[in-house]
Amino acid sequence: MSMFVWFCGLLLSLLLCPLLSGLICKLKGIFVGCPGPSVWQPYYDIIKLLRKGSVYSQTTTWVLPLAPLISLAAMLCAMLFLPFAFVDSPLAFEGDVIVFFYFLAGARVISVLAAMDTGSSFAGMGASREMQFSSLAELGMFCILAFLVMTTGNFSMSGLLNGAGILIWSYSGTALLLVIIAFFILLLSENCRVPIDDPDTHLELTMIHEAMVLDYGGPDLGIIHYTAALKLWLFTSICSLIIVPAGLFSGFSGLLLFILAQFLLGVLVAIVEGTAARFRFLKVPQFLLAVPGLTIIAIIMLLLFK
Amino acid sequence: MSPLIFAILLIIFAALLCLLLSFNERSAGLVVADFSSGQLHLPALIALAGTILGLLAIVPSCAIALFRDTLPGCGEFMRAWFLLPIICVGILSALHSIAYLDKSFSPLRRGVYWFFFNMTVAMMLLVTQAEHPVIFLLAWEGMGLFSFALIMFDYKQKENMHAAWIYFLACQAGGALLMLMFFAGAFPLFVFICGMLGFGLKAGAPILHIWLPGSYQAAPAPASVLLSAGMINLGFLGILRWLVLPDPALAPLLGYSLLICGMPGALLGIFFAMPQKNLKRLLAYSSVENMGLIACGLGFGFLSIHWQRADIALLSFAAAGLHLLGHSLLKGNLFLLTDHVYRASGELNLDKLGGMQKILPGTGYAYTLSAMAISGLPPGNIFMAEILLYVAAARGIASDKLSVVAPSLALFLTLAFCGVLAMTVFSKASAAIFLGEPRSKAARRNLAVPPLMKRCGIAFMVLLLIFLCGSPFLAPRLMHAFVGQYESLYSADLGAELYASALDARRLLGLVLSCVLLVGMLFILLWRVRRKYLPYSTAVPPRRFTWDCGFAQPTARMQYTGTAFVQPLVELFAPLLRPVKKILLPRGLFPKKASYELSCHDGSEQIFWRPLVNFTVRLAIFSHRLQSGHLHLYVLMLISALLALFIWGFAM
Repeated sequence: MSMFVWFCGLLLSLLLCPLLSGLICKLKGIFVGCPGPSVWQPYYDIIKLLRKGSVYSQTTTWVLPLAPLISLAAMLCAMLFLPFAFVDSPLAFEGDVIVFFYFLAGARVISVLAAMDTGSSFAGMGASREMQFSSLAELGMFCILAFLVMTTGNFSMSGLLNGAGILIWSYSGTALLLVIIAFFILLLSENCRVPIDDPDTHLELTMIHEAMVLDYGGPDLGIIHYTAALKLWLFTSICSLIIVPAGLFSGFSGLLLFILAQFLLGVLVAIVEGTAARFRFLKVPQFLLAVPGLTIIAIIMLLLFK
Repeated sequence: MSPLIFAILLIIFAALLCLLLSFNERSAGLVVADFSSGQLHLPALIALAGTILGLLAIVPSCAIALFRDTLPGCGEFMRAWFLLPIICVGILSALHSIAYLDKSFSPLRRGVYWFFFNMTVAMMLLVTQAEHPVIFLLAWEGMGLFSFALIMFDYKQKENMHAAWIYFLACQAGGALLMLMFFAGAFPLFVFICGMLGFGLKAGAPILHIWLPGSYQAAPAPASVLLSAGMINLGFLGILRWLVLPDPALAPLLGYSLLICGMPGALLGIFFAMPQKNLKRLLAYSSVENMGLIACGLGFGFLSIHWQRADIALLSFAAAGLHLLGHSLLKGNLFLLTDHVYRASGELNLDKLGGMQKILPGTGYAYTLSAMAISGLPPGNIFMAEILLYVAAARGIASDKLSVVAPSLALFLTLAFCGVLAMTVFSKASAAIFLGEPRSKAARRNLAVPPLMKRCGIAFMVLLLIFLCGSPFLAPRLMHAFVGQYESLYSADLGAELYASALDARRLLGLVLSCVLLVGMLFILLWRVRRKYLPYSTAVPPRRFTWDCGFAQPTARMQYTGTAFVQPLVELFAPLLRPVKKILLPRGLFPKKASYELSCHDGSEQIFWRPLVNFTVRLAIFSHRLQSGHLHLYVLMLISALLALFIWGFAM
């Protein structure tokens, strides 16, 4: 039964992830004061792109055409370790956390290489910024992992995210709150959201992720859009799994809560996007260094009040 | 006579014969075999045959030591483990040397090269086997001297001689420290410090790594392979063989000092690798990083013995062992592939290369894959080691005691940060060499790369794949060996722990391999779908210029260089790296020339060595005043010294 729920969670994640991006776009539109695109727009975009042909630059080599598919494959394999709908993944093993994050890192490196493959100055700029910000974000991510290992004593994705009971909020609630704020900053940064990057801008000089994929078109671009949506969904899943303690809900009520939590976090992201302005690039590292800072404070609190 | 002694004698004999024959012009010019890439002369053939036969002769005994299932043979296992990279790398770099020494080198120079090459290999073999301190010291000294000659092979360039000189000083200092270590047995702490410094000099510990980048850059490519993949490992062999066993009480001290050397070593190595423009120098700094991570693994292992956490200790020892082997093979491969690039373009400056993937497709694939593997990405040998160390550190973090949590946390974060910086460094390297458009005429040159060199690259890739697939079986063997070697350090019986940890490691690595396979299958599936079922997908996509904003057609000068790629990170860590910038701003309405140059000098040289050398020089100049040349002053000094001694004698 629980296996079935987990599998439903996995399937729904694959199907619903573009909807989350669509929802954020719609809400952002409302914030700006216009009706915004339909929430189904990302699906239309992807389907439209998949039906087109593609043009490659004559500078490019094997990296550019392969990169989107390698990224997607790595992401699909990584997501098998997530405990969807608060049910431990059947594939969990000790150390799968590292596999998860290194697969995501591998997906990032291959897309950086693809950007450099075009020889375009804008793509290079995006790639360089991506590596700069992600190296700081990665440090923050591993700080958060260390905190979760300390609270749960477990080192598999399911154990880390699902291992803490409701009691954790009573004995280390403040620390957990700090970590959740830190993770939310990471979520914004890793998914190129507003204070760090603007997914909607069309001014190349201010972009990170979009600048890297400037030379893609057609099915490849569709796959990249889908991968980006999936990545956002994975990060919101992790966030909601950290927030909601395990054991409260099980079965299909858990599944329902899980999906609901994704969209609530989407609303939160939309609120941040609608109200905040993008930082200057020189300020972004300071913002990102807040993540390890907050988490280390949380770890010290955990050690002191254990 | 054991196979190893036979091998050493054979290699030395071949070296001497080769040198003798090279002095005779007739025999030196005798061509034995003709390749498309060059000719094989008689002396070279003898030296090559000696090396390859000698190294192959060790393979069976090495394999037996690796797979024998009884514990007492653990010393054998450790030796075999350090022999393994020497054998693989020795054979392949010897083959590469044939193509390296083309017609532009005179017969005598070729003979001299082969002599020193063979002697270095022989001395490295002897170092792994030496049982007696005197033999060990002799072999160690010989290894340093012969490789010194290899480094200054290209002696006409001033920088090479400078690098070789620093290497020579480092070797001598290391030798002197080791002598002190062996013959000052009465003071365990003193012995320990001397040993750590002496072996650390060879293993590229932070600050002591000063000789490493310069000499890797100066040495001919096959010799850099020998140094980076065979020799620096031996520093760890020294620590494990000669430093650990004397006193079990030193285990925590050893653990802390390895960890405290290893973490900054790893971080500094990768930080300084980032801004490097010379390809070989970049690889050299990456060696410093990897040696730091291996030291972390070993140190964490010894600390966990002290904490009585055998499971953590076994995982980290296995991680260190796998990392050592993986690093040797990957670094050897990368150095040889770098030489392909150099052959084809005559250029090693990253900012002048680019677009080489179209000229050297095979080299491009191999380099990109090896670069990804050495930065710790999943289907790579280093990832197999790192995941074990991550799991060990996470188990430490999950423990209750603060004294365990703090070092584990530091190790965990160091690993993560090094990993992501290494990804930056190596994506910079492979992108700047192989992708984009050529940035200079050199990168367009397309000179022929000898096929033999390419075959060496393929052989390296096959070896890497074999050891990658073998890692689930090798990790438990490493654990067995460590338990056998250091059983005296544990207080409890280890049988059950060993069994559980070996099972854990095998399962974990096997699962990782199957995950990688899964990604591969998913990729093939997606590729089939993309190629078959999407409209327009069967047509060959048209090729156009790269899209760019406001330009009719982008030129190679507009694309990002390697330096530009890492510039934001270098600026971010400027207080540490202290980059030196030379900026020429565009001026006027129709600017002609503008440039930006960024370079980083070695931090330890600036902060530690140069002030130290300056201080020594000043001290020497000051004390030089005493040597005035006047006889009466010398007599006065003698008398005052005598007086002082008398007073001291009576006062006692």
